[in-house]
Amino acid sequence: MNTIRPHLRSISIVLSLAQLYFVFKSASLVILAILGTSSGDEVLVDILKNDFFTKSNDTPSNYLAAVFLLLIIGLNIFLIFRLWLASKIIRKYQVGKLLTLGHSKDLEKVGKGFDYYSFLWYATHLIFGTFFFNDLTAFYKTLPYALIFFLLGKVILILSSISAKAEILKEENDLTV
Amino acid sequence: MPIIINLDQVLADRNKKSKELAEMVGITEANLSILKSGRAKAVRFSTLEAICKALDCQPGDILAYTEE
Repeated sequence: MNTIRPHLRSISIVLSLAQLYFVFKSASLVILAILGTSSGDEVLVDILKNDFFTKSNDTPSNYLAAVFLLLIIGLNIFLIFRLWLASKIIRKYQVGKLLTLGHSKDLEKVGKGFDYYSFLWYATHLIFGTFFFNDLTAFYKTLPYALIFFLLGKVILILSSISAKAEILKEENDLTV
Repeated sequence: MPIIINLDQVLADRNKKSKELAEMVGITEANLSILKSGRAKAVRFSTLEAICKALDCQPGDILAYTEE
């Protein structure tokens, strides 16, 4: 247990920073969406073209741009909750609570959450990029980011199934007199 | 479970308490309670040996098989 303690601490710090990052990012996107839609002209569309998609001649409406931002904000909030659950699991590890009841279920939630997030994030960029912002580069530009979360989710799902088996073995061991 | 534990009966026959048996066998009262209530998943031979020695009985006196 002592050998993994420094690693757990560093994972815990990274998870906390990631949560903070996504909270601030979501907050800035909310402000951007409010300011962008309240100003009559296509300010929001111009910002999105610079920040998310490559510039094109097609100009979708401010309303569509706001929908895109809201979807991204929703996905970010979903990710924040999953990151919070992951840090909760790590905190349990840190105090030595390994293989407790429901632990594998929590891991499964985090793994599935990361997978859903990566899929929806990629799909959102792809759909809006292709159909509304006329930007086909979204196919490969957003792929590395989505793949990282997808693979991370799969690794966590494998860990959760190992954890579920370990929980059964631990229960049998605990109930052996 | 089709395996039932008759430890309470054997203890009563020998006028012994669970606490005494736990001390003699070297297991916790909580573990002895798990065994008596039938929640145990397995019993170590060493534990069974110690119980038989402490209660002067055979494994068959403690364990019995019944059709479910």
